[in-house]
Amino acid sequence: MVEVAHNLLLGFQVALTPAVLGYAFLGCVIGTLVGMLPGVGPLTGISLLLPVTFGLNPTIALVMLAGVYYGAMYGGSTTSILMRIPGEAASVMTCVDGYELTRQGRAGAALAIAAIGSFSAGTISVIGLMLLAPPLAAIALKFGPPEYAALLVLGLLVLAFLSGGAMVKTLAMAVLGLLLGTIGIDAMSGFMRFSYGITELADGVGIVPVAVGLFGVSEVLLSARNGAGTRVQQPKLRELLPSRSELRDSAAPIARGTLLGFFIGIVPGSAHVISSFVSYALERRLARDPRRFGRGAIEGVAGPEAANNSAASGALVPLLALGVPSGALPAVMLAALLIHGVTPGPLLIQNNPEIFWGLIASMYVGNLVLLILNLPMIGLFINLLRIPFSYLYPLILVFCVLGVYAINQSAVDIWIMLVMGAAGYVLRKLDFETAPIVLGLILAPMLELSVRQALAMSAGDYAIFFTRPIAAGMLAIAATILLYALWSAFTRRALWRKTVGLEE
Amino acid sequence: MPERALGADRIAGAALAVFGIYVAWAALEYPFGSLAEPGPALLPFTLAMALAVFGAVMAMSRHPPQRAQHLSFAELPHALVILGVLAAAAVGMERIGYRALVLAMLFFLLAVIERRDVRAAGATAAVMAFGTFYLINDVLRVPLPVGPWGW
Amino acid sequence: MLHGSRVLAGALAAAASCALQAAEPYPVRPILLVVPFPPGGVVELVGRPLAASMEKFLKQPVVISNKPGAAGAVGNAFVASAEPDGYKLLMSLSSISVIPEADKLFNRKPAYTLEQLLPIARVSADPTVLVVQSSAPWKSIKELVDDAKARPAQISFSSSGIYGALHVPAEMLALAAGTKFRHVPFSGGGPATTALLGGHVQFSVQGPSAVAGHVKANRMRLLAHWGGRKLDLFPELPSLKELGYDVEYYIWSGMFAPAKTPPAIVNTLRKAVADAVADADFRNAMDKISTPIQYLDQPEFTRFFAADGKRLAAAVRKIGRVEEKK
Repeated sequence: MVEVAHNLLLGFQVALTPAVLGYAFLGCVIGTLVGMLPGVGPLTGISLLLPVTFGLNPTIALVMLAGVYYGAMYGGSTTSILMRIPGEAASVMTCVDGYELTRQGRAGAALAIAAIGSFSAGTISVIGLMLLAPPLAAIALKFGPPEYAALLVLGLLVLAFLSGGAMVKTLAMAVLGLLLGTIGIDAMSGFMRFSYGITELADGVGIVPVAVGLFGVSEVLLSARNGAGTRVQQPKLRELLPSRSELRDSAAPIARGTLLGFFIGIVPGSAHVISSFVSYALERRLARDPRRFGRGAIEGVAGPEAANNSAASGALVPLLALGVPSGALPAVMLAALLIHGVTPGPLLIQNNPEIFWGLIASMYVGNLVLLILNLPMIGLFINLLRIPFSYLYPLILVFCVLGVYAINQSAVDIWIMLVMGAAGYVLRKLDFETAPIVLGLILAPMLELSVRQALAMSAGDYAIFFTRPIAAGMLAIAATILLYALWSAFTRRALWRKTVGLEE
Repeated sequence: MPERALGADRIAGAALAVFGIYVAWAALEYPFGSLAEPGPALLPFTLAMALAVFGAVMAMSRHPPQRAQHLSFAELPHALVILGVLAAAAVGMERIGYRALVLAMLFFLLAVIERRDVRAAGATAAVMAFGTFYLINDVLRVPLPVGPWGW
Repeated sequence: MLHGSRVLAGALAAAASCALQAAEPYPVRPILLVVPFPPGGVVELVGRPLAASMEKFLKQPVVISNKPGAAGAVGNAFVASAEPDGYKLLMSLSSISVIPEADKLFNRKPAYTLEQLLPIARVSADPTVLVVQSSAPWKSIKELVDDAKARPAQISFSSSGIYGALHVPAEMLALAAGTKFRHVPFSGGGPATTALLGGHVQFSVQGPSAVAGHVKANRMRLLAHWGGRKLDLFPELPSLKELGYDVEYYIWSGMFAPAKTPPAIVNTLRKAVADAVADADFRNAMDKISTPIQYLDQPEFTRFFAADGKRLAAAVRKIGRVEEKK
C-alpha cells in the first residue's frame, strides 16, 4: 500500500507537469469531439493523433491518446441521448431510454447522469487498474476460446431480457441479428457467406452502420411527417439538472455498471462492447417496475454509460500489464508505445514506472477535466433541440452519412445504413424492438469463432467447455439463469391462463 | 383496433418465416462440417430455421398483443424521399465528392422538400458542406472523397 | 461546362487524359496513400513516417487513408481499379499476393488481380519467427517437428486468420517437414499472441518485433525464423533454411500504383521513396519500431514480388480448402 502511494505520488508528479496536463486536456477535448460524431469514434481520434505523437515523449503520447480514448466514451452518449444516433456500438442502449427522456424534456438530466456515471466509472475503474492490473492480467490470460464462448453464451441470455413486449418477437429479432452476424468470411474455413460478390462484406456487416440505421435513420423516417411540430418536448432551463430522485435512482446502477464493465473489459478481445447491453438487461431485471424501461428510465442511461466507461479502463489492463491489446483501440495505443521504442509487456511497469503511473494519475485528472468540461456543455447541447425539426433532420442525415462513411471509407456502409434504416422503420411500426438485432450482430461472429476455436483446440471434444473451471462456472451460471427464466415464464403463463380462464 | 394488430403481427411473422426458410436454403451452399468440426453452414442454417420457427409461431399465434396499434403509413411518401436521398448519397459520395454531395443533399431537403427560404437553405447547405469537410478532412485528417473537379 | 468536359475526358477518353496528365507537372495535389488495414498495423507504422518523409521531397502532402476490409482486399482492390494518375497509391503487405489465390481456391471472382498493380518499391521486410511458451518442452525446431511427427495434427498453433501472414508460414513448415499442425485461427496478430501467452495453443508464428518484449520478459522462447539471413533483433536465432527445411517467408511492406500509371510519374515516386528511405527521420522511426528497412527499387522489387508471389501461391494451393482434407 505504501508502495502504491509512493508510486502514485510519482505518477502525479508526472501528470501535473504543465506539458502533460496540457496534452491530457487536449486529448480529452478531441476525444469528446470525435465521440460526439457518429462513426468518427475514438479509433479515428487516436489514429489521427498517432503521427502527431511521433515528436512527443512516450508518456505524453500515451496520456494524450488515453485522453482521446476515454474522452470519446463521454462524448458517445451525447448524440444517443439527443438524437437517437448511437456514436458507437456501446451507446446503443443509451439511445433507448436516453432519447425517451429527451422526448419528455429531460435531456439535460439524462446528459448529466451520463456524464456523472462516466466520471464515477472512470475514476473507480482506474483504482482497479492501479491496484489490480498485474494479478487481473494473469486471470485475463486464462480466458481462452472456451471461456470466451461461455461468456458470450451469458451474453446471449441477456438478449432475452433486453426488452419488454412479446418474447417471441424479441427472440425473432435476436435471431435476425445473429443471422446478420454470419455474413462475411468464415474465419475458420475462409468461405465467404452471403456476400453476393461484395468484397466489403467480407468482414461482416459493420455494427455502427446497422446501429445508426436501426436507431437514428429509422427515427428520422418515423417522424418525417410531423416535420413542423416536433414530438420532442422543449426543455426548460431550470430542468437541466437531474432531480434528487433521479440521482438517487442512478447511484446503484452506476456502481453495478462500473463493476460489471471493468470485469468484462479485462477479458482480452472485443467482448467489452457487450458490457453496456449486459448492464441494461441487469438493471431492467432488478428494477421494481421493468415496464419503465424503454419509456425513459434514468437507470437505463446510468448503468450502461458507467459500464461502457469502466470497460474502457478495464481494456487497458491486458495492454499495460501484459502488452497484449484487447480490441482495436488498445492496439493503436500499443502501436503508439512501439513507435516510441517502449516495449509494452510484462516488464513495462518495472522498467518504465513513469509511463504506467503517469498514465494512471493522468486518468484521474482527465476524468475530472471531462466532468468539468461536460457539465456546462449540456446547456449548450440542449439548444440543439431548439433547431426547428425541418432543419434538424437534414443535418442529422448528413452526420449519419458522414460518420458511417468515415469509419471504413466505404460507400457500402452507407447502403447498409439505408437498408437498416428502412428495416428499422418497418419493424418499429410493427412494434418490434431493434436493440436485440444489434446485440445479436455483435455476438454472432465472436460466439461462432470462439466455439469453433475451442473445438479446434480440443480436436472436436466438447468436454473442453466443462473441464475448464472458468468456462464451466460461467456455463453453470447461464444454465441457472435460463432455468429460472423458464420457471418464472411457466408460472406466469399458468397465472395468465387462470385469469383468462376467469374471463371466459 | 386489435384485428389490425393481429393482422400485422401475423403478416410480419409469415414474412420472417419465409425469409428464414430462404436463408436456410441459401446456407445449403456451404459445407456443414460435423458437430466436432462445425462448418460454415451450420450456424446460419440453425439460426435461419430458428427464425422460421419464431416467425411461424407469430403467424399462427392465437393470442395477439392486447395493445391496439394504429398502423398508419401517412409519412411513408416522405420517408421514401429520405431513403432516396440516402441512396443518392451512397452512389454519389465517391463520384461527386463529399462537399458537392452534402451541398446538393441539404439544399434538396431544405429548399425543395421542406420549402424553406432558398437563401437560408443555400447558406446552411454551404456552411455544413464546407464546414464539416474542413473539420473532418483538414482538422481530423480523415480524408474524404473529392469530386472530379478537384473539390 | 468546363467541369463537365473534364469529367467526360476522364471517363471516356482515358488515353487522352493520360497524355494530358503526363504533360502536367506531378504532383500538384495531395497524394492519397491507401493503407488497407485498420489503424495500428505494421503497414501503417511503416507508412506514416514514410509518407512524412516523402512529403519533404514531393513538396505535396502525402495523406494516409485507412481503407480496411477483407484482410486488405478492399483497399488493394480500391487502388488496383483507381485512375492511374499517381494520386492514389497503395502501401500494402505481402498478403497482397495471397488474396487472389485464395479467391481462386473458392471459385470467387477475385477482388483484384496482381496485373492491375504496379510495384514501386519495397520498404521493409521481416521474416516471421516461431515462438513457444517458455515453459514448453521443445528446445529446438527438430524436437517440435519430431513430436509433431509422432502425433500429427495434435500440436496446435495460433494465427492471425486463415491464409493470413501467420498461417501460411506455419503450413509451409508443416509441408516441408512432412507433418501436420492443428490450426486455431484468431482475428488478428494480437489475439494470436494472447492465446499463446495463455497457453491455449502450443506455438505461434509472429513478427519478430511483436514478440520481442515477451521474449525479453522470458515468457516466450524463439525456435527459428523463416528468413534468408541473420535477424538484427535476434542474431543467434537459426533460420529454418539452415536447419534443413526449405522454406522462406517474409512479412514485407511495399508501395504500389495502379498498373497504367505513366512512367514519368512512376519515376518521380521511385525517387521520392528512395530519398525517403535514406532520410534520417524515417530511419529513426523504423529503428524505434524495430522493423528493418529492406529497400528494393522497382526492378529488384518486381523480381522479388514475382518470386514471392509464386512461392505463396504454391503454398496456398497446397494448403487448399480446409474442409476438403477431411
